[in-house]
Amino acid sequence: MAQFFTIALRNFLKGPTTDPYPFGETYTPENYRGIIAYSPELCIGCGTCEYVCPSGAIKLRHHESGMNFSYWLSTCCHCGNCGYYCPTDAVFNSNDFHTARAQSEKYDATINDDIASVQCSRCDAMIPRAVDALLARAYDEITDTVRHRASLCPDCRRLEQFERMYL
Amino acid sequence: MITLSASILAYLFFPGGMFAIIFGLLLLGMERIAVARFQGRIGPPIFQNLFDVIKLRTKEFLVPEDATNRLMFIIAPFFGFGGMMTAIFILPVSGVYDGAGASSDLVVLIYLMALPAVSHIFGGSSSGSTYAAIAVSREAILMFAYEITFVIVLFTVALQAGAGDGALFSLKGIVDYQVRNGSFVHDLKMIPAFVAFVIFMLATLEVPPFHIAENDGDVMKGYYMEYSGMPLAVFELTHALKLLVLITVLQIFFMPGLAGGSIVVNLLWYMMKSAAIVIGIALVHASMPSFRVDQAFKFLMIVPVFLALLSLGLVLFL
Amino acid sequence: MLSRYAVKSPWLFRINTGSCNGCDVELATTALIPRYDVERLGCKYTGSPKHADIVLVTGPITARSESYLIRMLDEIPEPRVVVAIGICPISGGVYRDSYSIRGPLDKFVEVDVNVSGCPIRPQSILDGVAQAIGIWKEKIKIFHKA
Repeated sequence: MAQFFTIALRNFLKGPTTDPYPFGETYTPENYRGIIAYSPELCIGCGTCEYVCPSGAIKLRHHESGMNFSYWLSTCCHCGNCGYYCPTDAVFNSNDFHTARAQSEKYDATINDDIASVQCSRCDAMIPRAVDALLARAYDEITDTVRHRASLCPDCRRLEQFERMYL
Repeated sequence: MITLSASILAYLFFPGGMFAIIFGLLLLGMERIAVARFQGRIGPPIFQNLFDVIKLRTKEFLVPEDATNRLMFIIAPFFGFGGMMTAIFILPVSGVYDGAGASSDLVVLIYLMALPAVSHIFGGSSSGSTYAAIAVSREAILMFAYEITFVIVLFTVALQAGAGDGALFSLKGIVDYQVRNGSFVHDLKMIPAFVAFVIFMLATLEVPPFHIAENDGDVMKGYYMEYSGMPLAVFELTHALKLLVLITVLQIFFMPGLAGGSIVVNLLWYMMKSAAIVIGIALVHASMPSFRVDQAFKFLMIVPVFLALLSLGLVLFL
Repeated sequence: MLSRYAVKSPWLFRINTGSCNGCDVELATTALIPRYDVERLGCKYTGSPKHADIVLVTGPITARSESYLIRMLDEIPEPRVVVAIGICPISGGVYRDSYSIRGPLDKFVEVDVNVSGCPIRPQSILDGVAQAIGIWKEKIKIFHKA
């Protein structure tokens, strides 16, 4: 009891240690896992994030002109799996913690972006882009040959390989 | 010296009524801030308990379907409130107000002090809630234990103020005696009674370590469980008045010293003393864990009763 | 006029509907740890639903807790604000589509504020309570006009 007493008096003399948050700024750690941030120009549409997401917050859908990435905040459990497994760092946890939303915005708290796709340099097919981050994982150095092959759709690449070897 | 005498204005506005309610609520707010500071927090604004009462005024009042006595459930809060309003009307404030009592108002005080607990018991037991039933039994046990202390302390003070000439049961008389002959808190014989009275105060106000009957983590809100809206606001007001009444009684019994000749100076001195007592209560509140009900009963039956009896013996035989 | 002062004393009541206890720990943190001190906003955790103004619901509403939730919400006097804490009551979260889940919460009651997170950060709870106070003020005005 005497200990509690001294602690109480010490607290009184030291002054409050309260974070000023709703009225002032707060400290957020650099690697705090907050709302997901997504950059469509880095995404290659591999679907790893959808596969590892435990709460089904990330969905990738195919449509006529390419793919669509969608993320719903209201079911995201901020585990960070998507950012950990993403090969190109297109998805990661920002340290934004402002997750309070009015009920009317429940279904608006989303990210909905088309993954940019490019045309195959040989035919009409639309293919997801091979970004440099991905190429850097596969090759030691990114030469012009590598870039040329990355701009082809799988069929054209096979065709070109065949032409190079047998014709 | 000019002091105010009892009248209907004294009952409605000052020092009873409006003034007492607002001052009591401010003291409660101050206690919350002090507790927060002792815990290293910022705490609520000082008007917080006033806002609470205004808020409860805007809420719906629900009467539980399985209340055993609906009428008693609705009127129970007003017993305690009425009792406390009367008590604050009777009590003199030294150098400010004469008090409304006649020659033996000290005896009336014994009955009035029990009324808030009685209203808790009536309200809680008629609500039909199990939590309230547990809280009511605890409150009754505690009340049984602490009232003994209060009565003994009261007789000690009355005998001491009588100065060997029998007991003096007039509050005004006790105040005047101390103003003439020095406060009882400076008298070594009365120190045990003072400590006993402080323990009685803590037990009546149900601050930790006697936070048993309305403990949130234990019996939810105890006898307040089924109350909402207006009657809960009345309970809040009763609690504020009870705090003020206890502080005033403490000052009458042990420290009614004056600060000067005029009413304003004495009133400020009274308010400063009250604030200091509240901060002391807050320090105990912040640094004590809670008793179990059996521990509290044993403690209250042994320690304060022994201290009060010690004082009574010293006053009688020295 | 009353509503201006009334909103300064929101009393919080929390209902756990089969939560994993993560959000409840964060709620307790917000209340008890001096660092986050929810009492600055005038808030106080109450033990009784009859005293509540802002209801904080955690957990995905399991089949066992459904009836208790409905009974508890009936006991809370108007005007009140319901806040869903964590992703479980909002959408089901990681438990969505489970056979034992009856949620989300807005099937049973009109929800006012959603605070998502798993678990929520104490600062987000303060955010949510601050938003709920704004909604509560409007509700008091409507309640007293009617």
